Amino acid sequence: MKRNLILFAIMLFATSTMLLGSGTIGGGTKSDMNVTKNMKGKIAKIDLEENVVMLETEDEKVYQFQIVKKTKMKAHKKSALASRKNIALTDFVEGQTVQITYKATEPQTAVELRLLPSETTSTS
Amino acid sequence: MSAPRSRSSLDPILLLSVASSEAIYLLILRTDAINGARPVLTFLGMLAALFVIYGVIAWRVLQGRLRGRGNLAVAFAAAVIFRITLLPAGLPPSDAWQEKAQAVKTDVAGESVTFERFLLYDHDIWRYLWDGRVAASGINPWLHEPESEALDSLEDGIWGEIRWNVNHPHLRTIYPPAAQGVFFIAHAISPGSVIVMKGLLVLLDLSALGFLILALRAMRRPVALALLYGLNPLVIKVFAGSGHVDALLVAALCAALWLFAANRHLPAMLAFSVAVLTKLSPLILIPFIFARLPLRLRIALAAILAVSLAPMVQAWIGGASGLRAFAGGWEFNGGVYALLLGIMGGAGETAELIARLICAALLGSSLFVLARCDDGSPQSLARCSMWAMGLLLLCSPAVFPWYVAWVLPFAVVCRNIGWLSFTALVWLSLLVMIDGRQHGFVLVLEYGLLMVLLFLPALLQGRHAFAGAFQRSSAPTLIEERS
Repeated sequence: MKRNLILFAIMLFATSTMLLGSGTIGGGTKSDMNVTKNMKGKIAKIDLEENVVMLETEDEKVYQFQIVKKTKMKAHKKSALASRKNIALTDFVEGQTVQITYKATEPQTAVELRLLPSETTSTS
Repeated sequence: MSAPRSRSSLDPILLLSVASSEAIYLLILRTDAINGARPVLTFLGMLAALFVIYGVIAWRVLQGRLRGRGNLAVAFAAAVIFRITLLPAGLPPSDAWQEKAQAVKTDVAGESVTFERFLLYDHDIWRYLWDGRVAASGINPWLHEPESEALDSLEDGIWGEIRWNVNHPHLRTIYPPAAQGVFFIAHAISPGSVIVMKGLLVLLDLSALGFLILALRAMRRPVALALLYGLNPLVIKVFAGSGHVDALLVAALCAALWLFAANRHLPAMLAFSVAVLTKLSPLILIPFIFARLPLRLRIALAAILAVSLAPMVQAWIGGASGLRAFAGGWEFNGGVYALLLGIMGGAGETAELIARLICAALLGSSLFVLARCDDGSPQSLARCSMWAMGLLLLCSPAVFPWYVAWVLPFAVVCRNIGWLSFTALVWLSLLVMIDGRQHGFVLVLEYGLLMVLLFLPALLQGRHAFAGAFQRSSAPTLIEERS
């Protein structure tokens, strides 16, 4: 019975002190909590003044994405920009096949713009 | 005057429950599981409905009201059907059924990535696929992080997208050899296929159900209890829906439980080693496993684990170590740990270290008590394992919903309402997906209710009943298997 009481005391301690610990814990978690989605297609238009990319998917729908400071620019290892380190929006041209990653809750803003090899099939 | 009911007639409540659950699982396939209050609450609402239905079935199972071969056949068939239903979860929810079927075909053929990055809020599966690819190329999967230039040559065809979908690509893989074996086999069947990986994991999940049935039989407990595992919405969501490799861990633990109950120590030891080589968490059960093994098998177990984990040493070293990152910095939905941080006034390296040390001490002392209570019987193994794994969850800084599957088989054998209920309560943690913030009141609700459910029934029944929760079993074994 003594052993059980010890275990119970441990549990009780955990429960009771937990009640004191209400409030936001640490301002969030360290895990990735943003649900993101990918969209592939060809660049239909780039507006460098407005920092906007128009993406045409395989089913011929055109979507608009805002490129912001936080948008990561990357290139597939077999794409034209593979050797470049600091890629900018100015390096992309219309007709290139790209994949855009965006937050599901902010579908108008690109989180990542990645150049794909030119032979990549564009599917949304 | 009505005729007496035939004993073989199907239970209408069961049929209604199965039909309703299937409808909800189908609905889940059409749900866009993204951030925000509405999507998250909708998803949680559907899970809650599934758990209410599960509760009804569980109640009937625990009361011994679910009898007859017909009813059991329907219930076990439903367990399989629910899993098959949820396999396509992660395909674009707006796709029509025909489009989903086509997407599955494309996925299996390896023509393109048709699944979305998140599969019902989880995305671990991409790491599994990538690890399988790396191992199949003859490269040590623990050597390089996915974004390493050393792996650039593997980025052809669909593998670029799979590689970019990997969570924390700057960290090397954390998964031990048995898990890597599953990834390798899935890759050998169909490289890069999400559905094949999930299918394999569902087979392991169903194997867990099979081993649990065998364990229950060996312990002379009602086979119907296995339905508490088979129909559990958490298990179905995390294995069939999201595809977590923990299915292998659970299957191996269930196999070990059965084999120990059958006094087959060598295969039991091997099964336990598979569990540890899937994820390291079952190491916590070592005191109870060692207590059941003769010296030569203890040495063999230690040798197997040492030799099998040796190639993983690379995963421990350096800043890109996934294992070190997880052990040292991962925090999510912690119970006691979060509470201790709250008491100490929030995060900070010192506070985190102290909280971890206290949690370790709590866990260690609890394990010591449990080991002293272990009477060497199969029932005691289930009971001690349930509490040990449960306490590990309570003290861990990171408690993801699929971790609760580790406790579930033992909770089923022990008929423990508290841990069974935690499979539902843990989903409160998903509220973090609304705005990316983890709130204290959610933790209080989640763990507070768990504590109430763990201890209130025993306390209400008096201290003797409470003692029975941990001590050696003095009651005769329940035998109820009339059909």
